[in-house]
Amino acid sequence: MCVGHQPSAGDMKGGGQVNGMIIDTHAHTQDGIGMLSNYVPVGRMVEIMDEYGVKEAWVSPATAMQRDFIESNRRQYEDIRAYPGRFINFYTANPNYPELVENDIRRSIEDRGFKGIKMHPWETGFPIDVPASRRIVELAVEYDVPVLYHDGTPPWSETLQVAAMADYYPEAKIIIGHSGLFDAYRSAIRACNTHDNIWLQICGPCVGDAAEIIRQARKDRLLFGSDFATSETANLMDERLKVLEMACPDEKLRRQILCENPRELISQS
Amino acid sequence: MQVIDAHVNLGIGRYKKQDIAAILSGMEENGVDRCVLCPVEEYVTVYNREGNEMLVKACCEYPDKFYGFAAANPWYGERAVKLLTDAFEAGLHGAFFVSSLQGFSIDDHIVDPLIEVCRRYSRPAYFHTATPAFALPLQLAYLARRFPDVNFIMGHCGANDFVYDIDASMYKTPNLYLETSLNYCETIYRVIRDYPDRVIFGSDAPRSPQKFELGKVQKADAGPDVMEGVLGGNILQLMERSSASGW
Repeated sequence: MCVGHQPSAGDMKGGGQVNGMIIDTHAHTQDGIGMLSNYVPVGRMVEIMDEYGVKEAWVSPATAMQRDFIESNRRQYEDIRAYPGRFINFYTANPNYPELVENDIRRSIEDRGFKGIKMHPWETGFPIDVPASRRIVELAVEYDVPVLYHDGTPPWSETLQVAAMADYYPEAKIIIGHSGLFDAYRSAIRACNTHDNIWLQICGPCVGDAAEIIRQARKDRLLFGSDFATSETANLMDERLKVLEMACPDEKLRRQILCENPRELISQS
Repeated sequence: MQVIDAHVNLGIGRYKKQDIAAILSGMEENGVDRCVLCPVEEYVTVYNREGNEMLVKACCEYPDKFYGFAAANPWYGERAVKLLTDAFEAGLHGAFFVSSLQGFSIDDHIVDPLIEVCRRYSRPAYFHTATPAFALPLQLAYLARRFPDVNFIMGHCGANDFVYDIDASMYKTPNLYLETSLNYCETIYRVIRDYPDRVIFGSDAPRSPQKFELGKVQKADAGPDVMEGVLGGNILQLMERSSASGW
């Protein structure tokens, strides 16, 4: 018996046979401090996307997680206008400024065509289950756009705390941004399989854990994300696409994760 | 250049499953000369003796291929001390802890008697890190400072969300080493730059493929001397300092 076969990383650019149809549902423009300190101009980002066959990226501004969220979201809108069809705008929300953020979300969705909301409770510094944070989800329900949460980082970005939003708001489309990372991915699987309104991003778990997520979670709820701009970006895109390829050798399913599921989700918005 | 993988799982656990044949096959395919074998899951938590015996058998059969790090759950008290002592007497090369599974905080004094065994036998102690609240890098730093003459390995060096704590952990803790598995390339390259003599390549295979983890480390833009250390020389020196070289 030979147990524990290790899938081959190969020499391919990530994504293998599905190049050209990849939708990266978790990426960032701009920069901040710490893990967010890798600034990549949008033009360079497009070059890297082209190199790896990424057709479209759902982007939220990293700077807004930590400061100047109104200006940061506006700047992203301006920056990506030069690349029509390549990006979907997600609004990075800071619930610590309830009135400001609500007004700006409305403006961004109604006037600028933002199609989703991103929250990073750890980086931004708020508990998920407080009225100001839940108000953001209510706005997402009102506009019928998905909410993407960072998760996997206790105490303020714990995976089941994110899933609780799906309980409170069955009409909301909740995206669990890292599928539990290294320690809570089985909780993410359980949450996904017991809710109709939770999506899991393969964006962070290692190959073995990602394979388990892909085997056990609802197939129509899986998305791919690179977390572009939180590490040296070409390396990260390469790494994350290879993880998915090794975790999901089934090309048809990989295409579903990389293209069909995100297309279906965003088309509802 | 000798390539040593400092974290490879051996055993059929509830989730992790890997036998000797798979490990040897992976090593040949990936150009890995030696591995540090660690027990998995129930062998880390409950069946320590059975897991350790599995390691001893593997190391006896392949003395030029494997090192073995023994498990002992500190909640077993005196029995754990005997378990670890027996494992070192049988020739195993270090101790292996996953405190988040075993149910103690790394800096809790409950583990002190086992670290005393490591000191007595001059063996290093490997700790999984980055699972809050019981397996954090700074907890390991406190333990390492309490036992300055024992060498400690920070498994996964904080991947991902506790990489911010690497520097504070390494500060004034010269007996602490960083193992690379599961980390971002960016973090791996940074620690190789900042702590070239104290970074150790590890894969955590089969949780992450050995080839993939090795590839990340090999892409580091460091000189050949540094890479020789990271890929094998540093752990080898650590083992030699621990009087546990060879079988």
